[in-house]
Amino acid sequence: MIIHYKCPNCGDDMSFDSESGTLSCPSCGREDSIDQFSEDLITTTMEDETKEYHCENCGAVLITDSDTVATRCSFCGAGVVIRERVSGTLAPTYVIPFSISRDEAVATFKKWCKHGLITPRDFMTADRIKNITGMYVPFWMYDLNSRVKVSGVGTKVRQYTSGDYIYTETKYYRVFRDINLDYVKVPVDASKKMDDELMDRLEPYPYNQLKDFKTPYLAGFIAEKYNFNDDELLPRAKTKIERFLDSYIQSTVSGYSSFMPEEKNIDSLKKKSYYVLLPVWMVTYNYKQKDYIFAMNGQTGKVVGKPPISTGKMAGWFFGVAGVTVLILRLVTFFMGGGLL
Amino acid sequence: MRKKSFLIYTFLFSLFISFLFAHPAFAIEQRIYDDAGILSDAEKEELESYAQSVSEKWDTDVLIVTVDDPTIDVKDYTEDFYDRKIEELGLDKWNVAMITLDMNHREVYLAGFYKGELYLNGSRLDHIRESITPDLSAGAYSLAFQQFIDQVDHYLGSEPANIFLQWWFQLIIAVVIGGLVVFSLFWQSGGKSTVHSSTYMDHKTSRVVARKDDYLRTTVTKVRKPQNNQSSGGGGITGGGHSHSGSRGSF
Repeated sequence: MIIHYKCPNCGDDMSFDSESGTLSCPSCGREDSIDQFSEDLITTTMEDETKEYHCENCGAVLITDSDTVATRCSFCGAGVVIRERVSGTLAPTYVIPFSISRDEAVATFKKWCKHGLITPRDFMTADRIKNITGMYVPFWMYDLNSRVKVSGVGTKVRQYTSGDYIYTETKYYRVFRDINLDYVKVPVDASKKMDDELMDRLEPYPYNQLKDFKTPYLAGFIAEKYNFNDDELLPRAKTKIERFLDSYIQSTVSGYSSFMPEEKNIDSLKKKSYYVLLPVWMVTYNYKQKDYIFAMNGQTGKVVGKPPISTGKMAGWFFGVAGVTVLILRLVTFFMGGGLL
Repeated sequence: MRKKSFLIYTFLFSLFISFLFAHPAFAIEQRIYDDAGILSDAEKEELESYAQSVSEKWDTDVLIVTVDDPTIDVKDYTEDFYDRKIEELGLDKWNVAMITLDMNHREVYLAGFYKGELYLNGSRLDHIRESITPDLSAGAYSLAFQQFIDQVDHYLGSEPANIFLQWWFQLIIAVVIGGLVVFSLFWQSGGKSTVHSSTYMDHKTSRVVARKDDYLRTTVTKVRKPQNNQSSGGGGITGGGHSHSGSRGSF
């Protein structure tokens, strides 16, 4: 079954409007608040494996794959949500809706391109955006509790001078720390299609925008369901917080000149996990017959992805910086009484 | 067109800079002070003209002083001599490369002031002193002074003694800085995570539950203070507050 939002006033297709945060009709301007939207998704748990869905507007076959949750009809443009894929175990707990509209996303992307310091000049104009798609990417968010027990040797070093000698006094301590750390809503990308590293770099998302999941948020956008469940991705969440743990441990031994951990016992447990859909604008850009993929945080507008690099500009920066450095050093030499050349 | 005007501006700028900081011509007439009377008039004249040409070439006065007085210390005498002369000249800074011969104690002291210090550090002066000591011992003073001026000329014509002021080292520093800048630009071109350790931390419940810091032991090591090598005289500061490099030895 597919969910299709028809305007009760005029019958046009409604879609989510990022500016007002409502389900709105482009024809008559009707705006329906989503918070009050009631729907009964949990009950319909029929696991339907049909891959063919028909648009209720025009009857065309909707192009979907097994992961598609929401899409647009490629003929009439109506936004539809596939009901079975947001129900039961596949029902997201939260969603962060888009706050950046398509036009704003294009403008933000162009601005980002303009500020590229080492990208080719003709890339900076950003006039060859091939495709821009608003997409809800499935994430798992974890509430993790870590109990860290670490012990090792810390030193405090003091130097003083007496007579003709410089003394270095090193005091050794046995240091033990028992630390309780809670991390909330650590996000891990659960889609197979998305590059993990790219998604990591989009962080952080504004968590005050987290909303209880309602299907109208997806209207007009593309959405995917998760490919990995929360247990499968737990190890990745744990590795993500590892460096946070290390830096916290370091901060607890800041009074020492050095600290060498000898025994480190980290016990991280999942307290809770949430299935969340996060807003991402995917930009495909064609530069010199090659496609470059960029991702933009649908709330903050942060852009990530490897742009084309201009070797000429890189060389320019290198020789420019090196040249100025030499000039400065030569001037310093000159003012100290040395030669200019 | 743009390149050409840039070059012209650079040239004008450096010209301006060099005028701004050019040292005034010195009114010093005499550079050889043979109070001990070990040089003939002809030798004095010859050294005087050689010292003058090198001095003018590098904007650094080459001074040769001999003294025969049992009451003096060669280093103190050199410093006092410089202080006295700079006062006579009325200068704040006076670039000097100087050699003083104490005939009574048979000691020699070489010193560099300002630009002289920049190009003639302790080890370079040591090197000069060691190479002229045999001639001094043999009594060939004129030849030794000749060599002194030769070597001063050589060092003033090369790079400053400090490695940070030398071309090749500055070039390496520039290449390293340029490389780091380019690398960081490249690294950040794809955007980077701005998540830090407290982004996802729950500050209310995250804390150190228990801590223990037990003192184990103390070790003390000592090293001798690094000292200026007094045996060769070294540099110092004159009574008039002018810092200099130096090298001292006997012959």
